[in-house]
Amino acid sequence: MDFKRFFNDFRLFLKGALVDTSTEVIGAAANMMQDNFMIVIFSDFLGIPNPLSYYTIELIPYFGNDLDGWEKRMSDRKSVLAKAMGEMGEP
Amino acid sequence: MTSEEFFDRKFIFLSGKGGVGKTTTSSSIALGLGERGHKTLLISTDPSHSIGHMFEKNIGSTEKEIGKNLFAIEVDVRRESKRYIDNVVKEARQVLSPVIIDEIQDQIELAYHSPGADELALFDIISKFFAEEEKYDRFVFDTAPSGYTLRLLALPKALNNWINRLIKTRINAMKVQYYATRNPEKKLKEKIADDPVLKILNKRKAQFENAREILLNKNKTLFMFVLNPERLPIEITRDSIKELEETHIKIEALIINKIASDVSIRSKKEKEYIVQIEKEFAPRRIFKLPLLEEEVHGLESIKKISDIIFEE
Repeated sequence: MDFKRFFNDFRLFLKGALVDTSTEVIGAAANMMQDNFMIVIFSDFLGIPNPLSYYTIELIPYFGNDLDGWEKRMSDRKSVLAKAMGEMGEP
Repeated sequence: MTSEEFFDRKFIFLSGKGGVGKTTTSSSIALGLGERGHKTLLISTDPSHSIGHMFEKNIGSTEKEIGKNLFAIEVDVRRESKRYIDNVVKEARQVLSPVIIDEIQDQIELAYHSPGADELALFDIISKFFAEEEKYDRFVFDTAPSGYTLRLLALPKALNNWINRLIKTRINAMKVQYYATRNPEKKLKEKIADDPVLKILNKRKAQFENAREILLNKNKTLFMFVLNPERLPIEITRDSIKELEETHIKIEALIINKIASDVSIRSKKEKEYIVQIEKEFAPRRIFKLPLLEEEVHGLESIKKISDIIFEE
């Protein structure tokens, strides 16, 4: 067996098993934090009154790309449940 | 203490219900301060642009010299808030694709009608003058921020905690996002320093803190209430003062305006109300202004009122 190829496969295996999964987990956490942040500043889009929404619209340009997806995620109860289960493990 | 000494504050705010004479009174105070050598800016946020009528001059939305040491400006709150929202849309056009702009433009423009928008826009306008306080000796506002805005600002827990937590959450989210990125282009520190969201949040934080410091500083800021010698205005004044003083903003003087004195058939009742005001709101300073025979309009009648205010 080609030693070089074996080494490369082994490297990819380690990366897949360790690095990718951990960045994926951290990535999911980062997305969740962003979603939470958006809830606080854009809550009125979800029907929760925000007395400072006149000021927080200044932030829309920097979240605009994700706004639509975020609103869908927030209003889709199934995905909220699925997310919670994914985090905690199914009962 | 003379009136001139009493008005020795950078920022003077007049509160009171519509029609009691805030514009008359603030114009008279501003005129008197100017005459006594203090460079004064009179700021009206009244949509009917009444200081222009009062001084019989075209004033408009830029600072204009209208007398000795006297400058005036009429700020249109709705127009300022329109401008703010247009800027947000402009900024959005620079960073977002046209398709997304179409989707969110309505949501941005909806903020123009959001609850509290007018009050927060007015607060932005007032903050702008706070930021350039060295330009004048005195700033006289014919409207104070609403009770709601003042409460929001004066209660440190309400706004400070909110904005501090937002900043912290944003930084944390950026950190985690950074660790999740395999080959980041920039260092985390640079990313945080360049983040437009944090820049906006920090700008608001500084604005809130600065305003709070000025509004609660009695050496710098004076709040007064204008009322008429009638039952209902007294009751409204009592409630408003109580509400404001819960937030540590002191109303230091009351201006009883439109006292009809001997000519009125109501003068007896009026006298009773004046005594009641003096007793109930002591030890606050009370200014008593007469109802002029002619409507207060034009320099001559403003000067009359001004002389009465500064006579003490």
